Amino acid sequence: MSTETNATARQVLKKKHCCSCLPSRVNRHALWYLLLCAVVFHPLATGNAWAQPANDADRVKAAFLFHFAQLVEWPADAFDHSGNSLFLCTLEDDTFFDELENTIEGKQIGSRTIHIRHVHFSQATRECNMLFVNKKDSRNLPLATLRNLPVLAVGEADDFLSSGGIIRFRIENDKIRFDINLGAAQASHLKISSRLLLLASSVSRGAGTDSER
Amino acid sequence: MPVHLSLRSYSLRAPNPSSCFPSRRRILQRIHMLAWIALFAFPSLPARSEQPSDITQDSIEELMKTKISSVSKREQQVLDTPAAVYVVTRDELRSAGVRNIPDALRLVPGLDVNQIDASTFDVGIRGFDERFSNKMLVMIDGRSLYSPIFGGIYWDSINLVMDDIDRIEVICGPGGSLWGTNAVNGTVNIITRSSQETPGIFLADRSSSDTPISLSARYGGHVGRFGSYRILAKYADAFGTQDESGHWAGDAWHLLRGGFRSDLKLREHDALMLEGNLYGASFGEPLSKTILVAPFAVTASGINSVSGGSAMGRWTHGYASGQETQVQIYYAIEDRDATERPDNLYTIDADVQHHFHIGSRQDLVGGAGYRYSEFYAPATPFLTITPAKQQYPLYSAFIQDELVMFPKRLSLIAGGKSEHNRFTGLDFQPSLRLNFRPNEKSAIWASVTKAVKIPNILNTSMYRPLSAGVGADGIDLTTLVGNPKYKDEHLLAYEAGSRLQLKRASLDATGFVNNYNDVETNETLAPVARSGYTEYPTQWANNLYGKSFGAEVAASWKVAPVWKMTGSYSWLKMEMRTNSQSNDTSTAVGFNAGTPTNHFGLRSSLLLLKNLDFNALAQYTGPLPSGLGRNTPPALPSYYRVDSNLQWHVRDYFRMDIGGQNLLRPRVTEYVGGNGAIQTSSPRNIFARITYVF
Repeated sequence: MSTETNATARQVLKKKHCCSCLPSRVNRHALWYLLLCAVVFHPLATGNAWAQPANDADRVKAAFLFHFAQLVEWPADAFDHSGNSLFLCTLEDDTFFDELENTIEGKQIGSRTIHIRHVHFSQATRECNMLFVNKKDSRNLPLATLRNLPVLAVGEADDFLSSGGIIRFRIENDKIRFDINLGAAQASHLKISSRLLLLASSVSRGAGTDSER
Repeated sequence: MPVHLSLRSYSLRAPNPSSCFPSRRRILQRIHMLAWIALFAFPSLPARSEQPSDITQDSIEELMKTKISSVSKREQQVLDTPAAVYVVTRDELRSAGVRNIPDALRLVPGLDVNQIDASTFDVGIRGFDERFSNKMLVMIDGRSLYSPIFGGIYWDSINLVMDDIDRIEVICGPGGSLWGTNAVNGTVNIITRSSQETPGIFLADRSSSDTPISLSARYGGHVGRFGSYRILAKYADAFGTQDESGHWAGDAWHLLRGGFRSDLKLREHDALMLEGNLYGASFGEPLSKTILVAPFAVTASGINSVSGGSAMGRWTHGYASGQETQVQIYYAIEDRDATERPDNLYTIDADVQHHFHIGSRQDLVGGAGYRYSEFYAPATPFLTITPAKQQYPLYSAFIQDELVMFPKRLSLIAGGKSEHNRFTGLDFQPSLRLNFRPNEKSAIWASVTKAVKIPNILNTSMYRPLSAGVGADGIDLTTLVGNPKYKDEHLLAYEAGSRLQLKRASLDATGFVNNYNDVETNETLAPVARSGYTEYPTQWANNLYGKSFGAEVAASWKVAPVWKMTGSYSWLKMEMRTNSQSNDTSTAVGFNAGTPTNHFGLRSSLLLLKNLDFNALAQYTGPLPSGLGRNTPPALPSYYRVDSNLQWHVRDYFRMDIGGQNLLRPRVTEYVGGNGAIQTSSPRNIFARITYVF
């Protein structure tokens, strides 16, 4: 220790007689609270014995993407190249890509099967029906080139919607929320179900900043 | 509690017994009890139905209610960081049931945390821990809490609403090249949640056997279309602690705090963060005062009134090209009306940072800053600062270049920070780091860094009576005085580490060798005859040098989907010595024997039922070896600490925790002597906490 802190002669502290009444009272309070807890506390009766752990963000996002695919209608010619497949693309072969493969690869959306691929952005315009862009990859991405193309662009960046994206994920109070740019969807000839529109935190029409409903 | 900035004259005051129970406090306690009854009467609702393991079976409405944890993203970022970074996440803070920041830091390997009394802590990173650890930097959202006067942190007034904290990032090792001087052994950055993430009403009440009231209330809302805000208030009231004989130390305290934060998106590429807080608190402080007559030292308690506040704004502007500029300005003021070390300090700080890419392989950050502190520290019988009123301007600039040598494999980070202070002028702190990624799941890194600790006001301007006694020719008084020519302290650190991040387990290991030079010593000067006594002054000097070696390991393992275990271990050996010009015989030994060699911690987090968590934490802190020499800290035995709690939540709006800290013994002595503080201990306490979110 620094010698600024020399040990000094020890003195016996005078007993503070008032404060000596504290501990027993405090312990009684603490015990009283605990007793009350035990009485009112009855979660044991409900629910199943073994619980599910907290959900990983990637897993929940993957599930959202699956539902988006169910609640969006593509124009008839969007699947000319892909046939019975609906391609959901990411720009990176990362842990989210692995999560998508584990969670929704091969699932059925109506008559179509979802397949997950990772592509370069230039391929996305031709080969993808849905595109997910994470925050990092959003930088400098020419999202505007997707305009008029039937690609459902979903992203996370703060300015995703104003750059041309259609749905944007956010985290609020530890839960996933999303915002929709309806104008961009209409330009891409994508029909978004009213059920999805109702659940969105905000729906904007133009390329401007997000507006609250 | 009014925020008062006037100063009063000082005298040693013993605590007024009736002040233990002013009627205001009684009333508060009664309201408190009634509030608990009311909250318990609230009916508990049935738990939600079980979630199937195929998450796509959930309806989208159910997904919107699902709480997420963003652990994986953070794990990826840490793999790319060539430094000994440890992040205490919100989940870990909640599982541990901690009530303050120092307790939260106990979870981090490489840190030594000891409770001194009810409100003060001794925290150190990789050694040199003292009550005012001067080799460590602590920040909240980038605002430094370091006092240039004492060269340390007052932990007592950092009493945040724990739920507001998003994470605590701890970097063991010199972060000098980015954060600046005095981050010699490490940096702690407390990062609060964006106000966007805390909408609605939040109420929390924590009651424990040592802190009966800790009440927090928060409200978050929107600022039109621009963004969000939150306002909060917290009141906490704690009893004092007892020493080993059961005597009260007079260190009770209470604190009232208010704060706000706002996160706004002004235009497409402009984000503004505003944050402010105000606080008023009163802390009892056990003291020992040196006097010139037998018995030469008297103990008493002082009552310190602390009030202050801060305001900070941070503007971030993103450019279309991907570049980003950030401007941060903060203002902080604190009036510490203390018996031993009063001071009135204000600080204003402005920083600019610019982040841009060169090509696809280089990432550059550069910035400059100016910090101006001014203080007034009136003299007390314990400490005199001459002159009592001083200014402390600090200029700084830094640059950091990250070069991707082989994409996804090897990257190099070279950086440096330079500062100018009024005592020692210009300093330069370069750093070179290498990060190698053999594959997606692992990383190996190494670094060489130079860091500097600049003189603080105590080093240069203080006068403090240390001890008195009867000598050969009458009364002798030993004092500690400042040295206007005090130099910078230097550190050259070599570090290396490796990380492994698997799906269910992770392992993080770091080793380091630190070379110190010009570290603090107290040199005995020639005695001076004064009227009635002889003064033996000791003076700050820079005659200590040496090495320290250490290793830190952190591991986590998800044993089952419902059970997670975390372990940490750290080892430290210090070999400091004085050079030939020194006559200091105790400082080196004090540092070498002042930090335990081994720390070990084990944590378990188990989901018992749908909504019920059981958490336990066991820690071992090694003994302080007995030192040689007159003034070394006496040996302190090793101690174990066990905390445990049960947490129950109803959906996501109600949460209740009950548990205990330091369960093994009624009290543990974690800190011995020093800084005039009386021997106190860390008590066992039982707590209950309820939280409402609307």
